[in-house]
Amino acid sequence: MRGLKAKRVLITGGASGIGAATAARFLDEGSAVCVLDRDAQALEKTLHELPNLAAALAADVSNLTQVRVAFAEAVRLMGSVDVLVNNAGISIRHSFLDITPDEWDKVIAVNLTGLFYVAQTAARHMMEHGGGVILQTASTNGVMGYPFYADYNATKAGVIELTKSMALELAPKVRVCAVAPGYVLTPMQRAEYTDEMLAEVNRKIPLRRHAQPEEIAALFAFLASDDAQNITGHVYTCDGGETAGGLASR
Amino acid sequence: MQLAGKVALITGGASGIGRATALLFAREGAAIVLADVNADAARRVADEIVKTGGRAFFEPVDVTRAADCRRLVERAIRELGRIDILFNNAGIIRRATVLDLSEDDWDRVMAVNVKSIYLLSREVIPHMQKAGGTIVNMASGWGLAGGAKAAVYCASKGAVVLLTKAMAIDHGPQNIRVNCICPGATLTPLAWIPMQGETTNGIPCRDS
Repeated sequence: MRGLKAKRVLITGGASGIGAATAARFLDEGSAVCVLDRDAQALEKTLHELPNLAAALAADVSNLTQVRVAFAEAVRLMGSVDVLVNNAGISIRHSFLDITPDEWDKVIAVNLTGLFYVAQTAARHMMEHGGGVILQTASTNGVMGYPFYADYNATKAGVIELTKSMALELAPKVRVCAVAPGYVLTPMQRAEYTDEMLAEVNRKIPLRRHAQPEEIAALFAFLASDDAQNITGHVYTCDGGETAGGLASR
Repeated sequence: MQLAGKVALITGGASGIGRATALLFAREGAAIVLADVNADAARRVADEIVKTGGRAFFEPVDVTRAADCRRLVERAIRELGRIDILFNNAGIIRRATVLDLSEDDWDRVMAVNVKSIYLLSREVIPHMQKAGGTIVNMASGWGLAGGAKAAVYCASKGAVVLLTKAMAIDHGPQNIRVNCICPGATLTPLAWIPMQGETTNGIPCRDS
């Protein structure tokens, strides 16, 4: 990808799954990379696997003070932040009728409020320091309805609308895009799906498989690169064709 | 060289996005089959690729004619042995409302922008079924949202968007990926046909 060599990249939720794969990809492209995650153990593991990381920062995105401190640390260590991959997110598999107020608050706090905290902190920095790129992890769950993830789905639809509105306000200095992964083989997915459930899902996807985290990372790399300089305000889906028709279309 | 050893068939390859794509794919190592009604310009693109050490040929083709599409694909297979990438890029525009659009223009735009994808894909897909492949269709931002005085163009590009999704579902299991591109205002010869100067107003990044 063109133009990633000198870029300074901050990735939230960067200690596992799509975030960790994205950190590895940007390192491959020659970028400086800080990952941010609230899971200290996973951070240590990621730092061990990716020793070239500029830093592994422990912070909870739903805590504004922690976000500001971590962001300032990323700026101090790398000199600035040119690219934000706003990726931290959680999901809980539960039926709508059973969602507790605590669970609802927790999902909103990380996926929407936390994403906003990081986005605004980064955007303020970028507007004052020559621009940048903000990429956010949405989901095909933010585009179509899916059972058992009503709270998660609502946050991801929120991420999409936030992305478009940010893109309009921050142009032309800062480009803002969202990536909408479909089914991806991540720890988050493995935790909630049995092998039988995975096979059942794969049968309904046109390309017959889950995405690898590296394939979502590739999309982030492209959207951050100079090849994507006229792209802002849109959502890019990587789902093996699943939402081309919806699950009932087969 | 991300496309070394691949063969790419590009319609409307003589100018604009088609030409830029042909040159980029050739730089990445692909052999290029150019199809266009504009023989002189397409031949120049093929010559440019060959001169810089690439592999390319041009076939004069009207992509709205089934016989032309068959001849094109037969030649590509005969000379290059395979087709990995089909870029259905050929397209035309008529700037008119339904009130001032002639019936001939309606038919022509739908034929070039939509029917050609069907005609070429049905020739190419059987050759992709062993190794897989990728089909990229040219849609438009005006296939997602309406635009003024471009009724048939918007209709045709909306059709491309859903044709793409239907093809993706049908041929995904054979490892043929089908996607479309929706460019906004792009500085190409086609963009300069009508209404110059109107194209970039109100676009967030203010360049095209």
